[in-house]
Amino acid sequence: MKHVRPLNKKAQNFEKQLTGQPPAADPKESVSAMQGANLGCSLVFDPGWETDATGGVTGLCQPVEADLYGCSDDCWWPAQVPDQITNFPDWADKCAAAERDWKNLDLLNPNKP
Amino acid sequence: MSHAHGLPHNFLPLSHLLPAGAAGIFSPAMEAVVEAPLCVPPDEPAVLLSDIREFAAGGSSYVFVVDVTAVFALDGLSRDILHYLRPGKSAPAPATEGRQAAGAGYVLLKDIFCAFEGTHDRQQIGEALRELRSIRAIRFSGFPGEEWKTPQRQLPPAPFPQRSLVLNVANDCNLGCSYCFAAQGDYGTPKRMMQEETARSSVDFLLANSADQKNVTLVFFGGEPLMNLGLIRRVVAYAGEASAKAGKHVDFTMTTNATGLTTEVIDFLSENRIGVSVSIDGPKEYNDLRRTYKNGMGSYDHVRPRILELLHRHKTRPVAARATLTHGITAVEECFWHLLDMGFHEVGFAPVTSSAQEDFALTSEELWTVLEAFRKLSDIYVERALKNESFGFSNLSNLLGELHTGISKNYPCGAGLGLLGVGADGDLYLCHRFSESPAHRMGSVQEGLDVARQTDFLSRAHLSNKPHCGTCWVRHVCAGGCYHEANTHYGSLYHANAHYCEWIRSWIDLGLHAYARIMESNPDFFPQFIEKRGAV
Repeated sequence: MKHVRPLNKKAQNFEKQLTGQPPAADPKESVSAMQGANLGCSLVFDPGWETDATGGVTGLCQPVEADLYGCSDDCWWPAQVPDQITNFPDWADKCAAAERDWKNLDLLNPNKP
Repeated sequence: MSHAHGLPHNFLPLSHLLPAGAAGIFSPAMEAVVEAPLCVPPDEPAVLLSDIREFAAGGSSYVFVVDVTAVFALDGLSRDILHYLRPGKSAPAPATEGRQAAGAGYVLLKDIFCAFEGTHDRQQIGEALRELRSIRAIRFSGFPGEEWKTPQRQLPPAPFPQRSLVLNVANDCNLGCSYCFAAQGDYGTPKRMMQEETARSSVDFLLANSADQKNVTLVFFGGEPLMNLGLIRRVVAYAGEASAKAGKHVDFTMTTNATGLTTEVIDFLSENRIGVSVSIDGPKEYNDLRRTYKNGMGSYDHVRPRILELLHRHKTRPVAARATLTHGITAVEECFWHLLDMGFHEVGFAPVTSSAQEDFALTSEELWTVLEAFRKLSDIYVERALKNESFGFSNLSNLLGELHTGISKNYPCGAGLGLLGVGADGDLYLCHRFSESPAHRMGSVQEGLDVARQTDFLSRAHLSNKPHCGTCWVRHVCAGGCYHEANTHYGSLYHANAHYCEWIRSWIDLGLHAYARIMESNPDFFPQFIEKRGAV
């Protein structure tokens, strides 16, 4: 950034995310750096668009990374995944380990019983 | 939630998929901002200030972004843009003004370009706007996805790991300080000592409920904890064994009036690395006003030699003085230097703003006198920090620690949220100040935490329920202030401490100035002296 300069640690986290600095060697470190300026998602309008904790959208997971944050922290899985809280609680039952069983995650058609 | 959805935690290798650069931060609509033609249609792209506080220190300009407690230095252009957006384009608001910027009117984007095109090229103006937006100092309107909505409240994850227990090991005190919130040590309930079984259960409770916390803290409190020294010795030994089994570390601290210190006791404290905080209010003339024995005799002459020995012999932890400022005692600097000269590593002040007997609370004028003294001590603090020397003014060290990290709070303290008080019989309370208060009981170390009461408390105490705080620029630093003071003053712990809002804003403003001055000239001060404190 040219016109503003981060001073405290929170501000430095912002800059790290905005400038896409390379991740630290430790994967755990890289996750926390990613989450520095990410406020996570709202759990309220699930699934769908929502606002972050400040009422804007800047702190939300960006569309392309949304699923990554969904995996790494206690965000919700993005909208293309069925609503497992109310309508499709069993959707992922056959997928105990996603890297192995991901093929069991089927498409759903809400119009068909 | 990903677990609740049946999806494994490490579904994708995160470290390989970081955003490549700033491109992902802005949506296409945002990228178009700098390309926008000068004659944008009215009511279309516009800019407004977010919730920010600007301040100047050492000749430079800074912005404190309220919602995220981030501090940024501004260059001339970004500062001028923020000023341009300010309603009335007035000088910086005084610290006492709760809301500086949010809710200000919109300024059309084209007007901003027009205003600055004489001195800067469009590229620069666009860059500055984008950067100000990316740090959330401004917001845009007229673009998809930029609509303002009320923030959603999020409660802390449950169960929240337990980090500290404050044990009321002695529900009795040998002093009779007139201002004591514990009603001379027994919280208005029968005098009694904590039994060993209760203390052991407390240790077990702390270790069992600390989740993945490796370090937990046991605080020996009272009454006067040294009245139950035998128990403390046994608990320290037991906690050492139990924590080793659990693969954790227990840190011990104690708040004492120092009357019970002997060479033997001091050696025990030092050998076991027990951090000691001594309650003493300053020189004899101030200390003995209210820190008296029950017969009215002052305690200063009795505790002074004991404190000097403690400061001399206790080698393993810094020893802090905790001075209570009550009605009539505003000679803060005199008290500070007296205690520092005694050899205390740090001196912290607790101004009493509410008291069950109101004559002990500082008056409003007295509070401002205290702030002026804090300001003078802070100036010395900054001078020392620039020479890379520490200065034992705890209040500012604590504030600088929070500002440096950028902690954004929805609760003022850890009470009910990682910190709990334990009464002499093992009952859990919101914090040590609420010991023996049935209305604030939250289970017991024997039966476990009353999760329903905790959830109810956290839900009601959340910052979003405090109307006084809604537009205040320090809300995520102060979060409404001490529950106990609120309960005393307003009869509800969920009330914000509105009687000292202006004072707190001024104090945090002072802290921000000190922070910027130190950070700009000697940033190494923070890793050396502040981050090591472990207070944040």
